[in-house]
Amino acid sequence: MFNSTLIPLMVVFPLIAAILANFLHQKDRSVKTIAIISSIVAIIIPLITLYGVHLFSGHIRTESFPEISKLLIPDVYMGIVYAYGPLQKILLALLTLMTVFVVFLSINRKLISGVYVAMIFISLASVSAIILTDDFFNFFVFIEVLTVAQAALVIAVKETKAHKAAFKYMIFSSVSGGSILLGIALLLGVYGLLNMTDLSNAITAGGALKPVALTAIALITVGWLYESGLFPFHIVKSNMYENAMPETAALLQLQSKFILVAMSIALLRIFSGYALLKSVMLGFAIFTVVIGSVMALQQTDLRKLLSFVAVGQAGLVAMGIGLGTSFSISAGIFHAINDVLSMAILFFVAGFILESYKTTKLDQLGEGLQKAPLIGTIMFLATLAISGVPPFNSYQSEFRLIQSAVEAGYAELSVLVILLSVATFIAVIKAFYMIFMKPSTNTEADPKVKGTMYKTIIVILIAMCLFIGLFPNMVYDPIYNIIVSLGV
Amino acid sequence: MEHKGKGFGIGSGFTSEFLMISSILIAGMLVLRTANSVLFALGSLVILAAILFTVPTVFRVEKENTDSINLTSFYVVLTIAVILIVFFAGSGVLI
Repeated sequence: MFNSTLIPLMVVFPLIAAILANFLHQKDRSVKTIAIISSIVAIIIPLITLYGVHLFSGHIRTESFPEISKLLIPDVYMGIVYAYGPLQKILLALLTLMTVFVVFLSINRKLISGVYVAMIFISLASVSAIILTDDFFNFFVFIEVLTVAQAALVIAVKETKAHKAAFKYMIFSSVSGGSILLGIALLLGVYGLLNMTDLSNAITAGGALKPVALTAIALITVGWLYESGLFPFHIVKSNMYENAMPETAALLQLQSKFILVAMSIALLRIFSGYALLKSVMLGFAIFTVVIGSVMALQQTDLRKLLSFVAVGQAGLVAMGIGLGTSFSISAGIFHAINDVLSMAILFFVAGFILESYKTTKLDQLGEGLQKAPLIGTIMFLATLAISGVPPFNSYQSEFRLIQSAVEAGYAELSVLVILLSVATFIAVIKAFYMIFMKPSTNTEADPKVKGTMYKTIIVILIAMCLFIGLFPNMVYDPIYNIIVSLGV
Repeated sequence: MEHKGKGFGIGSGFTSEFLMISSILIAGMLVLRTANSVLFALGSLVILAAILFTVPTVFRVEKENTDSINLTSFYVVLTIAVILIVFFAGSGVLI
């Protein structure tokens, strides 16, 4: 039953589910059945798959490397390679779990439609492929597929603002996608390779980077900024989160952060000897985290506020990666995992508020604690979790980020991380006060909305936050070991 | 922005203003400290003076961070230029 040949199934199965759901569009009961069964199967596959490498089309390592490269590297992969290890397992387990939650919430909200479910599964397949693949072109293809699926999920809201946000996302996607593809083409031209491991070997063997290769790095870095939602694309990303249904926004922010992790590891592996890349990553990360936090403090709409907090937290993840030591990169990835959990709780709370009050404008809400005490309590706990208060999970990752910044010789950054945690706390606790504790306004909660599904999911998620906070090494140690073994 | 003039709005405004000032100072110190100690001392003073003349910065930041496609396009072009210059100059290709 446990088999590494199941590796491609993590991409293929959601794609099959998407095709089926799309085929049965408007047959709601069939779509619902397919969505539930596929979600359960999708969550099982990463758990029963053994670690290993899958070589597509039967290609094995060959010693006949392309002549165009003119570089003496021992052997090259001629086909697409998917690698599955402990880090991929953690990321995919979380990704599938969150997808299941979003599918269940969408069914509960009667948002179910064949196309909507298909887009959720296509985005699952794309992110899975991006996490697994060792081939740069395959990486690009799935990034493009993901962009289209994400835009479609936002368009499904059927509001003018949502359409505008998705349209802008697609416009800037053409800039970013074009940059990544041109970067890959230039690398292929210089080294004759697309496999990331082989590219890394070839670039190391080739000595100083040629101007063409430098242009390629610059172009791919622009793509990295867009896919991760860092400055200057933070507005486009936060606009998408804000205009999507809140539960879909929880999934979108998770996908963006996991792509940030996957793409950063890919870049650091391929250009491991190029120190300037890390400095550029660090610079943009600092910029994003400051602007994200400042903008979050200014917002008066819960969804917009959470969107900017999510963008700022992505900057914090990138800061860890940009510091460039094994410790800081592991801390950054660990923070990505912790942050997606706490952010998901906050977005799910926003989903409940929207369903119950039909608005997320903070000045129109109030006295929520009497109407939904459990939701209020968990939002308060999630606020503590996202601000890095012990014993929750983000405390463990932010502590490691601070420690790694000091160890890397950038003590100033540790001060910045503390300041930003405080700012995040103020921004979210302000929203908590205005929704749950402020004297009542005219907006009445819909008594029909019980929110049982929301309550169940956020209780599970806050328990996970607490568990990781109490036993951080169960998640952190495998990440650290992989980063050390990769030598990025 | 209905409640911006009320207690919470003012509190948020001040917090973000202090956050901006601290971040600019910290980032400035980080860059200048690694360059040169004299430059660090002079640069910090210049940054501090510049901040004093530009406060409140937060409203400018907010104005520049709207979802306008023109502004985002401008910053995207600027970013591509900065990244190319940093990579080429830093690798000794331009200089």
